[in-house]
Amino acid sequence: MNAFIDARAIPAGDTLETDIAIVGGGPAGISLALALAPSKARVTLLESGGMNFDAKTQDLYAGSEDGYPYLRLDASRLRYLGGSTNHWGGWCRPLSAIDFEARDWMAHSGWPIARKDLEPYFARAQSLVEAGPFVYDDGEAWTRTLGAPLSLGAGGVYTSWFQFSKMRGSVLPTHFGERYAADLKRIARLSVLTHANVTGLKLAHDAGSLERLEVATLSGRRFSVAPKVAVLAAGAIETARLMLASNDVAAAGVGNGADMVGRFFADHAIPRDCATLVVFDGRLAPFYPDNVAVGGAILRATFSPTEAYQRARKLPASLTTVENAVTLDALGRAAVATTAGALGVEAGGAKAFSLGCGLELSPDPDRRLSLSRERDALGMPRLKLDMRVSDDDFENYRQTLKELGRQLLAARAGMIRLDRKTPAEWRSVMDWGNHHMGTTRMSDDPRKGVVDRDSRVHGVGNLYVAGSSVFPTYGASNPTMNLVALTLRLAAHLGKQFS
Amino acid sequence: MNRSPYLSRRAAVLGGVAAGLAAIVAGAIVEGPRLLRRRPRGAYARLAGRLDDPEQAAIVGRAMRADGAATKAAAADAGRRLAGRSLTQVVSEDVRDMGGLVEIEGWVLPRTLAELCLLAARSF
Repeated sequence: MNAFIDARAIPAGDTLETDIAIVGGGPAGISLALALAPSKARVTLLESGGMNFDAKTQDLYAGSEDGYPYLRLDASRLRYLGGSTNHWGGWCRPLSAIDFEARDWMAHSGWPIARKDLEPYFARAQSLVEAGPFVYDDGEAWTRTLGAPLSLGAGGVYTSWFQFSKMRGSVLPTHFGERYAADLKRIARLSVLTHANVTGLKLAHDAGSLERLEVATLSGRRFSVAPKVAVLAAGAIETARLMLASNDVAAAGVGNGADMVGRFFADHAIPRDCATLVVFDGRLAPFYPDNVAVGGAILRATFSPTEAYQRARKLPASLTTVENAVTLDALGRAAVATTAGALGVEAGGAKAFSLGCGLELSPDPDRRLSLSRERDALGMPRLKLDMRVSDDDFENYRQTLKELGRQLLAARAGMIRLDRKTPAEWRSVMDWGNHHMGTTRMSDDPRKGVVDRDSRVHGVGNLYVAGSSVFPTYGASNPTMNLVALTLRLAAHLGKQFS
Repeated sequence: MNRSPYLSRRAAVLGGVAAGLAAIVAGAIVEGPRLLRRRPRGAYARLAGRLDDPEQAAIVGRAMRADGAATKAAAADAGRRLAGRSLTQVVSEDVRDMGGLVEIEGWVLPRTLAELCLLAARSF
């Protein structure tokens, strides 16, 4: 068994040689290391933290935020083995085909790859996130014994399904570090360095390749890793920071000749209580408000716009979740009684529920990370986030909610109230998914992206990026399972080089 | 003394009275609220009367902002659409597309129903 190596014990000034260096031990880095196990490559995974949370290490993530209210940069991710899977919610769903397309109504949209390019990797990704059998939109058949989906008239919204990384008793979804530590230790050609902070990417003089990684520990050791290939898998915030801060050879930073690194930062907006759903007969199947375990899978039903509806109405992706039972006020009770009466249905036992959502933001180059003058304990510049959100994104989502309401009326099954309208109302209930994406976006055009379709940094022959930082658009699916699939695709690409 | 195998006349009368009272109480419970409801009055009473419960609808209608001209237009539109058809038929037609919907304090309602709510609010 190959034990993890504490980087604080590596002699200062050493240079460690390896075939592939992976920077970051989150879901991307760990999935990549596992997937490269059959190759002949010597792999070194560098993780900033250890096996547990450490406040001084976590402080390396601190930065500043400006503009639209957003989470603190050190509060929405975790810097130890397993990364942010140490606090994720376990929601999984493959991106839809339309999420990859250049949508003429969404500026800067379009991946250079299609969903079919990721499909060969979804099964393994599903296994790594431990979400059980691959069910998703077959959820209705799997949950038949628990009740029927809410009846919706024909239209643009349908009942879609998420799956969940398995929970074991009180233990939250798969923590990649804890779950896969033993598997990593069994890989003969893999070294996992803990407490190893990569602080710089040293390019060759012509900036066309990476020569070495500069590594520092909080105990004061500094050494280098010289890889044949390096993969940055540190998350969409930290990967951008490392590329921007490595500016000794290329003044704008690594891979930043087109000033694209750090731009297009994105997250899923998840405003709470954005609408109220009323079900006339009061019967709502348990898989809407709660996760249900069935046949080895954990499922939850949501509402999503169909691809056809998105195209017809020029809408972003979204998901709508049923949350908590709520009590209606006098106006609400009157609206329900009057509407049900007009539709000729009984609503004496009607029940109401709050609705939440997950919303795809429009890509915005000015929603960006840049270096600040502040420095962390290792001397690295800290980041500043300029957060922006378009009011149109909420207005567009409102159309989807309204369509859901129309379909409920058409089916004489229920109705909805749209609880947020103005930007201030949306802001008052805003929350975020902690799904950092987009800062090293994928594009075949070096002027429009940071990495190519193989996740290789444009202009730097042996440097790759893994993780959701390469997502050019975001869909409404949680990123973890999708970034794992994309990482497995990268592993297949790299594996060929070292087979 | 032998008891008659038949009910006495007195018992039969008392039984009938009791049954009648029970029927009246049951009817009052079921239909009472409807009978006690106020009836819409005024120019829009006939249209507002198409609703199951115009008083409830008036609560919705009072949340709408409409001047006299808008109310007249609503009455004309609702009257035209409801001519010779049931309310259920008309609202089912409204909800076929987004153009047939309106929002009242966030509630997404069929347009004709909202018009009737407005008229109900003007009828009490």
